[in-house]
Amino acid sequence: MRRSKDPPPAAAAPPKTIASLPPDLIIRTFTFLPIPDLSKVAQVSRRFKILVYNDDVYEPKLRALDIYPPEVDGNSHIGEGATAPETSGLVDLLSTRLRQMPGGHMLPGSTKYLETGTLWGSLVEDEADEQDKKEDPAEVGPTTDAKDDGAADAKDDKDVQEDGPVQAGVEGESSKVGEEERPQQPSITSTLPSGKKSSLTIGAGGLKAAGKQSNTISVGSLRRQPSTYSRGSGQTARDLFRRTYTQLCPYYLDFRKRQKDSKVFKDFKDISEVAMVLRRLKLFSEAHFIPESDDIHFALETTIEWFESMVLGQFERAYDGKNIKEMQRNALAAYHLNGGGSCIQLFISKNPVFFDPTYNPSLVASKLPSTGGAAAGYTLADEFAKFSDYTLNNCREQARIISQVFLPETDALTLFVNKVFEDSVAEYLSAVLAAANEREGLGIYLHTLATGIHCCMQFAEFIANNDAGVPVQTEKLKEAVMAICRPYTNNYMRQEMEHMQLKFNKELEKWTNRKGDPRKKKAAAFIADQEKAQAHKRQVMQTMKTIMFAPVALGKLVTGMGGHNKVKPHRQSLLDNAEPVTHLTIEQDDNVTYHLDDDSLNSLISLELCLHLMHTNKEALGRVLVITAATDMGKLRTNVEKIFCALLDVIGPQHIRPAFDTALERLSRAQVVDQSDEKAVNPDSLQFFEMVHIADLIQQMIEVYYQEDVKPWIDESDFLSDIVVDKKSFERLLDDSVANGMDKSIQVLVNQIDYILLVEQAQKDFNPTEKDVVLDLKPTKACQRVIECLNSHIKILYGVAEKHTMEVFFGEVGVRIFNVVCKNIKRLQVSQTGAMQLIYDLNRYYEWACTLRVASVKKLFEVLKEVGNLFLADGGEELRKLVHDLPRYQGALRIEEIYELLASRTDYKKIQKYMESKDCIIQ
Amino acid sequence: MPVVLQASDNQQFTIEKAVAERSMLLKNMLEDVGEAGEPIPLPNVAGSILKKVIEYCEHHKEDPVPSAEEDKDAFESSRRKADDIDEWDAQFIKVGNEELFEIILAANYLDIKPLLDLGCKTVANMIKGKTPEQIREMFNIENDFTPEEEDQIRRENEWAADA
Repeated sequence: MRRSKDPPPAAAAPPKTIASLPPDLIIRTFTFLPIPDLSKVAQVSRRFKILVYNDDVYEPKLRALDIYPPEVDGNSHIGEGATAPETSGLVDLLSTRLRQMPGGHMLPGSTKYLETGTLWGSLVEDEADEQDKKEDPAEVGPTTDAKDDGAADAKDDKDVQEDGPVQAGVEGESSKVGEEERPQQPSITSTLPSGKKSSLTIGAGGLKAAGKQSNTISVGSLRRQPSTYSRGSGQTARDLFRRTYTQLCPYYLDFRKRQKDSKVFKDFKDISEVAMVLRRLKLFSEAHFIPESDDIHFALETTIEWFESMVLGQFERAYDGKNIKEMQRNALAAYHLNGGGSCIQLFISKNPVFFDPTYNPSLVASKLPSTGGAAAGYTLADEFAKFSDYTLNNCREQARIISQVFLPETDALTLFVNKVFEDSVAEYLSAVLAAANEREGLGIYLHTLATGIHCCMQFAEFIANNDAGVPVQTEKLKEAVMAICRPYTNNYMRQEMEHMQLKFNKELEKWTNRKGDPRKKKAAAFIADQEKAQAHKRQVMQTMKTIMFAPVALGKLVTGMGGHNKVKPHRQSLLDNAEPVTHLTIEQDDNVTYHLDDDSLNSLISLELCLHLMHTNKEALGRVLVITAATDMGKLRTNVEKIFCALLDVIGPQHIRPAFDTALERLSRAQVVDQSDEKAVNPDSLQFFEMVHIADLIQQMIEVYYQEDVKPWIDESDFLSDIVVDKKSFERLLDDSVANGMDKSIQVLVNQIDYILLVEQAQKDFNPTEKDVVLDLKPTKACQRVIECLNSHIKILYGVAEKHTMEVFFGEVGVRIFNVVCKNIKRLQVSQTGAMQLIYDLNRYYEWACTLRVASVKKLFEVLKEVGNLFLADGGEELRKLVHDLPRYQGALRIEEIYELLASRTDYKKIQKYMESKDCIIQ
Repeated sequence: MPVVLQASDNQQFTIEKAVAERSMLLKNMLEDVGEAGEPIPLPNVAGSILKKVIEYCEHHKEDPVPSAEEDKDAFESSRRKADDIDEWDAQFIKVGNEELFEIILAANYLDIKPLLDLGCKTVANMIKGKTPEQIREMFNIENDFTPEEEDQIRRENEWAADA
């Protein structure tokens, strides 16, 4: 024998042979060999035998058959997996080295020598083999091990017989399996990758894909052998491969001669088992284990095609006959054959949902009421909601069938609903949108689009909670919805803004035209009374709130969608949410707001208009929330900001500012009025103050709207964001306008007071001609008129602005009135007798000043009271002291001004010299 | 920037960088060291073999970079048939046994996976269809089994023997 032959003589650089390759390279070489050649290699030498038995040769083959170790990416591969070949590698390396060393050939069977010293020694290995033989029957059960070729056929027969009932049992249980697994389903649907079809492989791969799901899914005789192995337990990759190979190989080789009459069809009666075997044979064929097997491969492919079309044919007949059990049987077979995709496609393509004439897209237009108008347009959206609801119920029904027919792993419902979206929903939606766009205009179109998207999203959510418990990949469905809507949503924001601007302009225009209506010119009553004004404001706010927030607006619903975790009721109908979106609002709007303005009539600024604008804005906001939440959650904040800013921009610069500008202009041109009206309030001033009130109301309304509907979607703390900047500048615009107007109105007031004094204050008021005239101890008529005028003005101001602003305002009024009164004194002659009358007047002014509750004003008028004394005092020393007692005047009057006042004394000429000379002395 | 390689017999080869980068060993080395311009010594590879390897790399320099994933590589190559070799490669690898093994060793050392597989496939093709005795003769391997052992091994592998 060869053994007697000497090994090649060792040289310094021995010629390279296969023996000089390291073990891992030899193993690599072996992986390219067909299976029959592996058995030949094993018989070559001890070293080759060890190498060819190495698991590294078989693991790729098992992978090709979709059989994986229990933890593919766990430590088994790094831990045990790596150590075993390393050990053997070391042995081989060592033996090779020893052989190559001088005298190495003297070692008697060097590998054996080394082997016996290690775990890999022949003795141990033989024992391990023995172990295998003992273990195998235990693992396979009562059937004999495949090691005996002669017994293989018998064994297969046994398997078939035995597995018949098992299979049947599983069939009956499969719906139950679905139920048992339901708690896990949400997590499965959410985590599965979208490219799922490839992972739907059968056999061990399918198991692996199914993760830790129960083994009941894998059925059939060939499944019963352990599909996983681990090196630690003595179950080597080679053992596992050998078992698989010996099972599949006879069937495979059988295809060399036969196709439809193959052994497979004789040995396996259940079509699912046949499918599974065919599937595995296909993998077997693709792995090229057998040399020159192209003919077999071709025959196998043909048979699989034939088998699949047979299964599909049976499925179709079962479908037509409404035989759920038969459908399920064939669907299972198709699933085991190749994932069952074609079977699901067949199911979908035959489904009556797609041929249902109830909601025919082409009928959309005819469903519209012939009468036009806003309400008619909304029926489109309602029609779509009804259609969605109808389709949803249909899909729920289909889900029940799907749960019985298809395995959860096939994801059939997702595919089905996807198709529903792509075909019927998309078609209906585009028909509805086209009708809306062509017949009803942009507004209705946008409304319909928002409702449509909302319905689809709800659809996707609700179908995921179907009572049949079929898992659905909601995210995937939503993506499908997105794909359908993308052509419409791409331009959406632009259209929405356009539409809003258009509507804003229309409202503004409508209002501008109505402004001239004389009916609205009557004076407002409420403003004169502070209590009434407050009550009215409250009422306005109340009305505004009911209008803005009464109907369940579209916007509110997004909260749930944004959170994603809000549990929605199972049976919730789409219609409940979608229907009452806007109709109610429209009616209320028209009825209520008109009388708002009737009451608080104002020709420059309109609550009604603002309410309309806000309402338009709110509608747009609702749509934006729904559509943006569905299409691009990340843009939600920006889009909400855009919408709200548009409102601020229209109400602020386009409505309030021009109104104030007009009012200011009028104020600055205001003529003093000489009217008998006891209030004597300048109409322009009155108008202005009314306007301030209304502007304040508007701001409050906007604030409420902002707090309720806008704030939840934006980030208030981001003080650089457009919305915060815009809101601030809106408020500033209002404040500035009010402040400017205030200034002007003070001027008007002062002019009015001046005018009253000029007209009413008689020359002899403080300089009675008769020395003994009886004083009636009352302020003069002029003074009373001034006070009346002031009071009526001040009254309407309460509640216009905040306390601090009012204090500043009153302070300013005080100073100006003070000056006016001083000016009045300077204009007149005051006799010593008349001084009493003057003091009465001054006291009256002081009383009035106290009602302002501003400290500085009070102080100022205290000084004014002192001025009276200047006229009461006798000329000479007393007066001189009064004049020069500067602390009395607390800096409000300079000495020069006091001289000027003194000039009004009737005896001024007499005392002038004395006073002025004294003055000189002091100086 | 050309790369200079120096074989065990001090023979030097100047090659393009793209060619050198077919070898993962050289690629990593060039990334680490940068382009020093110094000859890179390859003491494990003889000049004649290095020349052959460079010829292979020159021809394949346009190929897509093979996946680094070892596992996937093993998986892929096992699925490919051993006789699935393209024409140029088949022509290229028509060499004597000794040179073939030298090329395999060099490819392994330089970490050129496609060349290594080409070599291994070629060896596999040589083994294919041969009897154990023929294989022993071809590679000059001594039969170190006893007749009893030999018989047992044969029985042990009967499951795989017939096709």
